[in-house]
Amino acid sequence: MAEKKRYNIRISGLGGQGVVTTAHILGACLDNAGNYASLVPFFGSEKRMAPVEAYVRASTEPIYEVGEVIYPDIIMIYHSQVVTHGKSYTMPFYTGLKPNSLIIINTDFDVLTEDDTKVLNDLNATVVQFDATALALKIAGTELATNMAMMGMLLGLTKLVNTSHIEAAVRERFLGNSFVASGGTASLDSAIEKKFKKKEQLLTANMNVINKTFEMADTIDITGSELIVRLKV
Amino acid sequence: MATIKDMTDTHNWSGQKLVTADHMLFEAPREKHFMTGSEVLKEAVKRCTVDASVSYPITPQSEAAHLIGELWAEGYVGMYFRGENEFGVMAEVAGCAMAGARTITTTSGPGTLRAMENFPQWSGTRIPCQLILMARGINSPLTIQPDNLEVTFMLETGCMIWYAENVQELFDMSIAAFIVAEKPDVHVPIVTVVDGFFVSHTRESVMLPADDIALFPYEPYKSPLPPIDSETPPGRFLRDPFVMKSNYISYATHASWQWEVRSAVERSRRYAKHFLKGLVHVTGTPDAEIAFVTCGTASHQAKEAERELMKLGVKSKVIKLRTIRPFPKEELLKELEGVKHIFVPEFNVVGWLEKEVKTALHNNHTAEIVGGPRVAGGMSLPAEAILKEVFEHINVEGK
Amino acid sequence: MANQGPAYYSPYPTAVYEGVITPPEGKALLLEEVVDEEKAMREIAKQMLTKENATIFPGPQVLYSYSDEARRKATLIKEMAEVLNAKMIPMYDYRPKYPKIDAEIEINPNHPNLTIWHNDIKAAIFIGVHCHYANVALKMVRCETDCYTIAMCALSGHEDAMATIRDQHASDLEQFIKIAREVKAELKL
Repeated sequence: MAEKKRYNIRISGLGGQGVVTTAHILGACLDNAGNYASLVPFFGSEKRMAPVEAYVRASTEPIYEVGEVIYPDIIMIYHSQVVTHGKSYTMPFYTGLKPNSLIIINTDFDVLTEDDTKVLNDLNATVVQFDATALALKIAGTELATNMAMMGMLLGLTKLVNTSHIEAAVRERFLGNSFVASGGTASLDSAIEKKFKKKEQLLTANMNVINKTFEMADTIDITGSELIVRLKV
Repeated sequence: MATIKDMTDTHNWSGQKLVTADHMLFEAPREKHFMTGSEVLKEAVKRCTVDASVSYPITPQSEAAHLIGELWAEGYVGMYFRGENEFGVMAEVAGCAMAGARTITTTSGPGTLRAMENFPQWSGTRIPCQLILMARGINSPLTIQPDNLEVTFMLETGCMIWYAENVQELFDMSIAAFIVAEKPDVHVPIVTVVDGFFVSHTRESVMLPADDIALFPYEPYKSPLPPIDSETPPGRFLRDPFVMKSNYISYATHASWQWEVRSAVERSRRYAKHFLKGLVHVTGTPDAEIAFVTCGTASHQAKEAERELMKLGVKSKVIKLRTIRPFPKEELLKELEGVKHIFVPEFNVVGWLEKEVKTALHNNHTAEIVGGPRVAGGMSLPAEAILKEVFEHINVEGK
Repeated sequence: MANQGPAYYSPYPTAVYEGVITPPEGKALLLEEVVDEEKAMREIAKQMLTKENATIFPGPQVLYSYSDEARRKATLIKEMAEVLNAKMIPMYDYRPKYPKIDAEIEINPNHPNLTIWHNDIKAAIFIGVHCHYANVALKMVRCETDCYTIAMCALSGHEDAMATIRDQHASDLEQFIKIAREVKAELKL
C-alpha cells in the first residue's frame, strides 16, 4: 500500500456466503500489516440469501469515518444475484464508485449489461469476473470457501498485504478464541468444522484457495487496457 | 466454570488484582487489540468487578449481552440472568443495584422504550447502575441499523448520559462510568451511549490494559440511600416508599427530591472532567469560524469533513460532546468563541442535539446554527454530505 | 448553599443550580465560599452556640449501626450536644409520617420544614443522615425557614446546607468538640 493512501472497500453478497467473515479477516490482515483499518458489517434480520454488505476501510493515516462506504474504490460482489436481482443496498451495484477503481465479481456468466459496461468504461474501472464458487469447490471441496477465493483475488490483485498477514488473520478467525460470531454464523462455523475433521485442515484448505487466487491474479494486468477481464477457473 | 474465590482486600473473586480507576485508565500499560464494540465491552466489564448483569438479548441488539454472560461463565461477573422482557430487565437491574450490586445491562431502541418507566425510577432511587445503550432507532418502521432517536427520550430521565465515539472510547468510558456513577454525591444511573452497528459491530484497533487487574468493588454503604439489607439498621427489604400524600408538605418533598436527583447529575461534572479528560474534545483549527458540534459517530464523519475542508483551505473544527447529561454548556461556549457558523450533523430525524445546542446558546452566542445534515434509519452520513451542507451555507472557492 | 432564608414555595433554585457545589476534599463550605475546615468548624460552633433552639438531628447511620465507628460517633454526638447546649431530635426513620408528625420527638426528611417551624429551630446540625435524605430535607428547610443548617457528612458534603464539612469521622468530631469548647470560652458562654 505504498502509493495509495486510502482504500474504501464495499463487499456485497448474500446471507450465508461469508461476507461479514471476510470483512473481519480482511480488517485483521490490514491491521496485522500495520495499517489503519476498520470494518463494519450491514445486514437485516439474519436470513440466508438476503442482501448482506460489509465495508472495510484501510489507510496509511487514521480513519475517522465509519458506516457504509458510499464512495468505494473497490467493490466485491459475492453472488451474481446481487447484480441481477438487485440484492444490494445500492442500485446499481456500482453506485458511488470512484474513477479508476476495481470490481471483483463471483459469477459463472457475464453479469454486465451493455449500459453497465459503458458506465464502468467511462469510470475507467477494472472489472474482474471469475467463478469463485467453482474454484472453492475445486480446491477446498466446499463452496463455503467462496469468500476465501474472493478475498484471495482482492489481495492478489492489490498486494495490500502479504500471505503471512493473511494466514495469521485466517488462523485467528478459525482457530483463535477471541472472535465473536452471531448465532447464525456460529452454526455455519460448526457446519464447516464438521466437514474438516481438524481445524488445521480447514485452515490449509482455505489457504490453498487463497494461494490459487494469487496465482490467477498474477495473470492479470489491472493497469492494462483490457478493463473487463474474465478469468477461467 | 471458573473457580470463584473469596474477595480479599487486594484481589476480587476471580483473582484479579484490585486497582483504582486512575490506575486502570491512565497508568496501567496497554496493548493493541483489534475488536468490535461488543467485544470491547466484554473486556471492560471483565475489568470492573461487576456483581450482576441482567440481559434480554433480542434483535436489534448487539453481542454484548451474551458476551457478559460468557464472563459470568468464566467467573468474572457475580450474577447473570435473563429477564422476561426489557421492562423486566430494567426492573431487575434496579433490584440488583438497590441491594448493593455493581450492575450493568445493555439495550437499544425499541427495548429502551419498552423499559422506559424504569429509567426515571432508577434515578429517583439513586442507583448507580450502568446502561450501555447501543442506539438503533425507534419503531416504526423498525431499524436494526444505527439511528440515535431513542436518546431524545432518555434526556430527561434523571440519568447521566455519556456518548462514546468509537470502540476505544466505549472501553474507557464504560469503566469510568461506574466510578463516577458510584460517587456518593452523584450516585445516579449512567447511560453510556454508542451508535449501534457503527460501534457495536465495527472492528477497529483498541488499546487495552492487561486483564489481570480490575476495579475495586462498589461500596453500597456509601450509597445516599440505605441499601436493601434486612440485617443492618435501618433494615430494609426495599427502598423506602415515597408516598405522595395530598398535602402541601409532600409536594415540597417531591419537588425537592427531583431537584436533588438533577443536582446529583450536575455534581458529576468534576469527576467526568477528570476521567474523560474534559467534557468536550476538539479537533481541527482552534481559531476556525466553522464548527461542527457532534456526539458519537457524527464526530467521526465531521472529522473526515474537517480534513477535506482543510484541503480546500477552509478552516473548521469539530467539537465533540462527551457528556449530554450533564450538558457541557460552559465548555461548549468557550470552544465556540469566534465561531460564526455551527453545523450539527446527526443520526436521527428530530435533531435532538441541535435543540440542545440551541438551548445552550440562546442569548449566549450569535453564530448561525444549522441543524444538519441528518440521516436516519441506518443510513450512513458520509463526509461528502456534510461538505454539501457547508457549501450550501458558506461560499467556498474551488469546492 | 447560596443564601440563607426563604426561597419561596418551591425548593428552587437549589444550590447546585446556583453554581454552588460540594467542597473538594479537605475543604468545607460556608454559604457560597470554600474555606478551610477549621474556619468552618469555628463558624458552626458559633452559630450553634448563639442561635435560638440549636438542635442536632442525628440520623440512622449514627443512631443504630453495628460498627465501632458508629458507637464512637454516637458517644461524641452526645458530648457535642452538651458542649453546644443543643437539643437532640433524631431522624430515625425515612418513611413519611401519617397522619401527623410529632415534631417534639422526631424530624423526618419528608416534612422537615414542618418540624423546624414548629420548634422554631434557628440552627441545626444534620449528622448520620443518608446523603439523599439529607439533601431532600436541606433543600426544603432552606426554602421554608431561616434555620442555619449545618451538614456534618461522612462522605462528600451537602451544598444545600449553609455550612458543610465533609469526610467527618470520629476523630474529626473530637476535633470539632475541641474547637467548640474554645469558641464557647471566647464567647464567654
